[in-house]
Amino acid sequence: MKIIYILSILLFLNGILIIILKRSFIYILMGIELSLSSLSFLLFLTSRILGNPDGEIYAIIIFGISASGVAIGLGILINLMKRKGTQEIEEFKDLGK
Amino acid sequence: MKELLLIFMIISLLISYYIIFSRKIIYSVLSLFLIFILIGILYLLMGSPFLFISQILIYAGGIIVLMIFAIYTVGIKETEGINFKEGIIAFLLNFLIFFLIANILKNYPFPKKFISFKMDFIFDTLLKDYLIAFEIVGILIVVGIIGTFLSVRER
Repeated sequence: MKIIYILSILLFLNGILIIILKRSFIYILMGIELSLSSLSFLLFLTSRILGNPDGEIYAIIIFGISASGVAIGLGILINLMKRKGTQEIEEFKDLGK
Repeated sequence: MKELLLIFMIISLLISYYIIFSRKIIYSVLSLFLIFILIGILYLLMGSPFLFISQILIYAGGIIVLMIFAIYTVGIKETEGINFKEGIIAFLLNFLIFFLIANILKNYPFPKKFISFKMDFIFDTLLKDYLIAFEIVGILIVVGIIGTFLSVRER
């Protein structure tokens, strides 16, 4: 069972890798979702190992947080596509000026 | 049982590497759908059917459908590939962090058998000890919906 725990940490790190490497907004959202999903699985496993129900409750709360996060992210994506006509992150460097 | 868990975990890891190297967005979203379903099956195999149903409903049913809807609405198909030099550095750092964490966890005494809880015990704890966090998540979802509506509407 130790190997499942360690491999789910690798899945979380792969989500971070998608956020770092990809240049596109929708891929960054996908990386955040993958990280949050594997994180809730990790919390679930931890609660099963320690015998404490708190981890499962945190997993249920993370479901709600990631659902609202993707709603806001897709709203931002549609706004950015309206303004610039592209979704590559490099094009939004002058947005704060 | 144990082998089945390992096989599903390894398949989801391979699919996550496919997402990193893929350039077609719709295929990546569909692979993410597969990963979410595999994680849901892992929940089911570990004896938590409620989290399996929640995972399928929220991630596979809600988030992926919303993402596909947004992708087809704004009409994007492909993106640029990853930068080669950055990719090598990021992969090396990724494996370094992974091996450090695995090295720490190597000596931790994991129990042979998992402790499973009854569903009513979990919901008693959720609605007694964690009531404020539960309500705050509800408020967060409502604020997210209102914020998305206000930011997208025509002025």
